[in-house]
Amino acid sequence: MFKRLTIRKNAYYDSVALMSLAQEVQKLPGITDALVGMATDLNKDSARAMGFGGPELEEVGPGDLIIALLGDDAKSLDGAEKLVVARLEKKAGAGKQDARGHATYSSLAEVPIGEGGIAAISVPGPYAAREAKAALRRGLHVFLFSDNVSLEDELAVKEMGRREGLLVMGPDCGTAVIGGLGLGFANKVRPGRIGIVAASGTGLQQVLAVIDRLGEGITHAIGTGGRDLRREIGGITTLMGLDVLERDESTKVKMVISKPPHDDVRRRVIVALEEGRKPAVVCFMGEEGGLSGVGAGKVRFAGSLEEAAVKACSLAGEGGSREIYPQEQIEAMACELAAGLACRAGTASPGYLRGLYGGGTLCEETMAVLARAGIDVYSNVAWRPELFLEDPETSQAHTCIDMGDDYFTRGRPHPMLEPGLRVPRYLREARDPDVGILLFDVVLGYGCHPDPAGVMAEAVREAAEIARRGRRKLVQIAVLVGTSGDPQGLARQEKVLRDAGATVLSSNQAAAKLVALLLKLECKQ
Amino acid sequence: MSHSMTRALDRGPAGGARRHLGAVKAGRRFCGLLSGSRRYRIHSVFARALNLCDEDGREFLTLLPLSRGCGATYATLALAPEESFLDFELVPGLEAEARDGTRVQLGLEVVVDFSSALTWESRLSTMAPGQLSEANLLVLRRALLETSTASPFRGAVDGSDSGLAALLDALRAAVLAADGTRLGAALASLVGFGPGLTPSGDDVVVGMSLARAVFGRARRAGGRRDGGGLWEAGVRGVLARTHALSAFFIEEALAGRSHEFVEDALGCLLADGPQETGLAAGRLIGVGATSGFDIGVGLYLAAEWQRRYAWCSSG
Repeated sequence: MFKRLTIRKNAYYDSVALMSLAQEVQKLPGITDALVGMATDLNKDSARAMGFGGPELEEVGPGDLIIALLGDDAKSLDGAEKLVVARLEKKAGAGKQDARGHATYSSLAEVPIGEGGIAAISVPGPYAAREAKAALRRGLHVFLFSDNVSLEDELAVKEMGRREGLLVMGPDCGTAVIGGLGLGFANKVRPGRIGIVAASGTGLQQVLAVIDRLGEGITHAIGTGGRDLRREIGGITTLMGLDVLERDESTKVKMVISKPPHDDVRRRVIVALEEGRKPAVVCFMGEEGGLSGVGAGKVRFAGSLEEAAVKACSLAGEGGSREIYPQEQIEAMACELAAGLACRAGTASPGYLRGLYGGGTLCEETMAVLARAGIDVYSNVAWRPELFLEDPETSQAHTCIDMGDDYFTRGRPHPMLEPGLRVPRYLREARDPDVGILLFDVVLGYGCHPDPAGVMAEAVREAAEIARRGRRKLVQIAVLVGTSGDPQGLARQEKVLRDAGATVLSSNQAAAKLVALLLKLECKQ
Repeated sequence: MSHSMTRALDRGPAGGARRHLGAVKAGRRFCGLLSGSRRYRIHSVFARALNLCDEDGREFLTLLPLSRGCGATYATLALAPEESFLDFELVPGLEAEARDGTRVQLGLEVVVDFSSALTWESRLSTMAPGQLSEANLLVLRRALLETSTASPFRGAVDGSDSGLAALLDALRAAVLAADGTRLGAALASLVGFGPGLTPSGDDVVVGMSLARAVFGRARRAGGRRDGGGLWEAGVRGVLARTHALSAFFIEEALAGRSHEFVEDALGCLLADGPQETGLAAGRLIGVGATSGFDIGVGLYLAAEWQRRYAWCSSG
């Protein structure tokens, strides 16, 4: 038996491509086993199981490539290694074009320097900063979809971007729309007069959906990644993005969306907006909107994503200042849904709420709305420590879960890509006899699942059947976030959910208000 | 903003990405696959069903969409209505590779994630059959009669096909007479009769065998060895006449296990009211082109014979 271990330091390759290559090598004559993979702990274990070891293997890390070969003779190993090298070094070739005439490259190193553009990077977190820096060195703005990037790496990349005058959108940036082209999970929106900087992917999508519904459009929606307004990062991308919007003649109204920012960073952002020429709307999740902005100059404050979008449209001259769902309409819906809603055993209140969200910001908005109504909600992303769920797998009392959180997405796709991964949990909650309300989001757009409503509709039907057999009523509320131009078909997705028995709202804030009203009801039974 | 910045990369909706499908419920027989103690390969792929087969070619596991129901040898997946297993580049012969005890890789493109799957529980496993409700039997009979189906047994149910009605009569007579030779001959005409992977005749036998297994619990509790009756021997004697997958479903039914909708229909017949029985019968009859109907015929016949002759209570 002959064996050979080859290490390629600092070389990242896609895991699916490597798996495919390893299978190809294993079929070669004279090869008894082959491993081609990044030097993760799992792959190092596999290499040890093949009989490899020593310092060479122990010293490599997940940023290095392992090629481990077992064969009948040295010639077979030579042939296999030659094949691996040839496959790995196969390049598209500079200047190659796709069917639409766009230049294609097989690595950042092939991109000509100085031609500009955006590099959209979606590699595992440990490799992301290196790729982002490589893109910046070639003069490219960066859209960094990858998550699990350290705060130190994020700061280093963003500081490098600032020095070069290039935006770093991310890490963990879910959505951006630049000049009408979507990146990540992006909705189809018409061109308009509102420019947005958002430290929240699904928050941005909710705002885009409301703006679209009100007949307005956007210039750019610049994502920053969820941590940009933390003290450590200092709002680097947010401030650069606001500068871009200030200088962009098409942008008439600016907007900033974020989870609660650090006080110092918040101040810097507000000052930057006040010093600009254009009116602005700010939505910092959890803060009150409405009157707090009166007399504050150019900045209007919004207490919800819907309110932010409505205010921006109003400033841009479209849509008036009406909410999508007036309070009386929500109250009427609550009355209708409340009919027959069962009381929780031994109490005069309806069953518990269980909210399962793919969008983290939507989850947080719901908790904020319910907190204002005096309703405590447990969560894996709770702001108040006493409401933090120690075990995200187990709900208690009223619970809202962000299923896009790292805990649920480690080694699995985000629920916006595979909404079906939420379904077992959804049905587990439906089986709980103390549960009366199930709440979930369905997010549309490019990059998302092609039929998320279809997947969740099956779960809604099954949950209704569980409740029917248990002789209880279950209210199921869907928040549908999307625009009329989205590829999934907004109207069709809504119909699918309604046909399954869900109550569908296009505003998360309205859905949360509806839940608050239902939870405040006193059962007569 | 530089003009060139607008040369962004646009992305289509999840095209070409590896699929990571969530298993919603799974039967206990998936343990062998997930633990890696039994090796399975893809046996057959349909738009809305995927069958895995073990290395011996005798034991099968089936993946279905959530709305299609579960079972001891089934797992349900959260798929959209238009999604098809045929879209995932899965072909017979591909290995189903267990990973981490919770995931199964199918080919290069698909991972089925069982990490959050609920364990499917059979309602029949704890059920002690009592008196059969005539009202429930009537509901099942009416549901069968009102069904428009291409099954050849449709004619046997309403009496328009004298040939098949005669075959079922011969089966009944052989069972009542406890005549193994005549039973074997009737079953030989039934098993393998009809087209497809699970022929109509096989489906009728599935329904009858499951009902007999459940009704016969008292008999076995009284000292008889499980599966040692004339019916069981007769059925096993003709299994070679049909496809391996269908034979497996019949073996499972003999052991008192079947698909959720089949078990549910029988469970309702035994323990619930006419309304629930009607709903369960409707779900069962909706399975496949003719399978649900044919299994329903088998359940009905077995239950009716039990009510009249207590055929499951004797050997």
